[in-house]
Amino acid sequence: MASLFQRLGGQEAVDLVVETFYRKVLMDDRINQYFEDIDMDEQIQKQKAFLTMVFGGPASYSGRDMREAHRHLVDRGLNDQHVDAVLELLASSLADHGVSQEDISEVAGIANSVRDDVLSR
Amino acid sequence: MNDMYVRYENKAIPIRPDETVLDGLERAGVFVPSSCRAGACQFCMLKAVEGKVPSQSQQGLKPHLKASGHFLACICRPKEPLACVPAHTADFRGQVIIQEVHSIGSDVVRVRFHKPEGFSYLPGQFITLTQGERLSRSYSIASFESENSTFDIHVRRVAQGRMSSWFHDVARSGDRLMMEGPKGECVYYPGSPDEPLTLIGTGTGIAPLYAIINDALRQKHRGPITLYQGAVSEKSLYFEREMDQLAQNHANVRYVKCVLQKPTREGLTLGDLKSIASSELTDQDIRRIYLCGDPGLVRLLKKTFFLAGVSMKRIHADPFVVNTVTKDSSE
Repeated sequence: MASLFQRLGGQEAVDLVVETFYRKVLMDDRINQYFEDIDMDEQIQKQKAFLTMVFGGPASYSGRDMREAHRHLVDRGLNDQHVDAVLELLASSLADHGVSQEDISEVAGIANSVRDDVLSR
Repeated sequence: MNDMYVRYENKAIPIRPDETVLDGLERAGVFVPSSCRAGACQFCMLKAVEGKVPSQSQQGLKPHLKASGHFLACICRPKEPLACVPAHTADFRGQVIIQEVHSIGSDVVRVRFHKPEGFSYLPGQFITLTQGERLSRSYSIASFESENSTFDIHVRRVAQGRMSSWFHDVARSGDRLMMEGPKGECVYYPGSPDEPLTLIGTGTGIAPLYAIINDALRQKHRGPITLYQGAVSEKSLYFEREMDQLAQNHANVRYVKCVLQKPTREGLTLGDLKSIASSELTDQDIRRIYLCGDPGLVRLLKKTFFLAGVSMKRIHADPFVVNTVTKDSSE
């Protein structure tokens, strides 16, 4: 059976979803404070890597990377509510691109698995 | 049979048939930053200086990077031996000699350099110059006739700016500086001669935009080209005569002058650059946008257009580099 990554449309799909997702993040007042003052091109590349991982693509996004990358945000108050908001926006971005509810749940499950690393727990 | 190899940092590293370039380099103990290993994050980007990389290994890269031989090591299974270097390695690193320094306005000088052997650029790119031991700044190249034997930068005098003061007060013909470059992806992309191009800039940032427009016209761009220039007052409009002329000579070129202080003459638009440019952009998703000038404004405009629906792949702005290397050309 095709992997979720292939089923969703491979790298091209990641590229499309990531822009939708990033727009939603920047416009969401619950979390956009954590995304300001970041180089937008770099941020897009990081999000592509992350989405490739949650799509089950051939990625190896390590937990240590996630911890290191988010530690300074945890110091600034990043918590479970913010992670929930990001997961919600990811789900709605996928829905915008016609991804089925079943696949969205699978993606959400994988994305949720890095929660403890992101929050340095 | 396995005779595939990649040369990296003067070592020939064999690549096994089932391996990517990244796998091979890592097996040989070469550290290459990487993250996704799927051709997405671009951390493992390298540049091939010899040999042709498979086009699949360039997926998602911007056209200027494809053209310069950049590729993603994690998805590259070479078909022929390659020699590669880290991605940020500039094409040229060496001495450059000043031909002349010429004043072109109350606080701007044009510095003309002899083009050194082995250096070529695309109009709109920038270079990093180092004067003396450690004084480094990046400047956009203002020339567009890249085949010429010289090229120019425009330097505005910055209050307490050490490098700009040096260019204004000390530099003269025959002086030597170290140069690295060219860099940047703020260039004309041939292949879509009908697409609308929108260029927005302030200060000496207009010089590279002017170069990009000229390059586009030389490559027979037919689509509408609009340059928005922002300035505090009509007196501080930069390169106005040259741009006026360009708009007069080419039916597809439009020049919008935006000033914050009430103008005393015709042909100027009162208001801030962001609102004027945004209000005119309706079919944004098909546009290509170029931003040059004040770093704060560039960032704001980048975000504004991205949120309005323009893909990041179609927004071109030189990166704003802080600390020792800052873009004097934008001040």
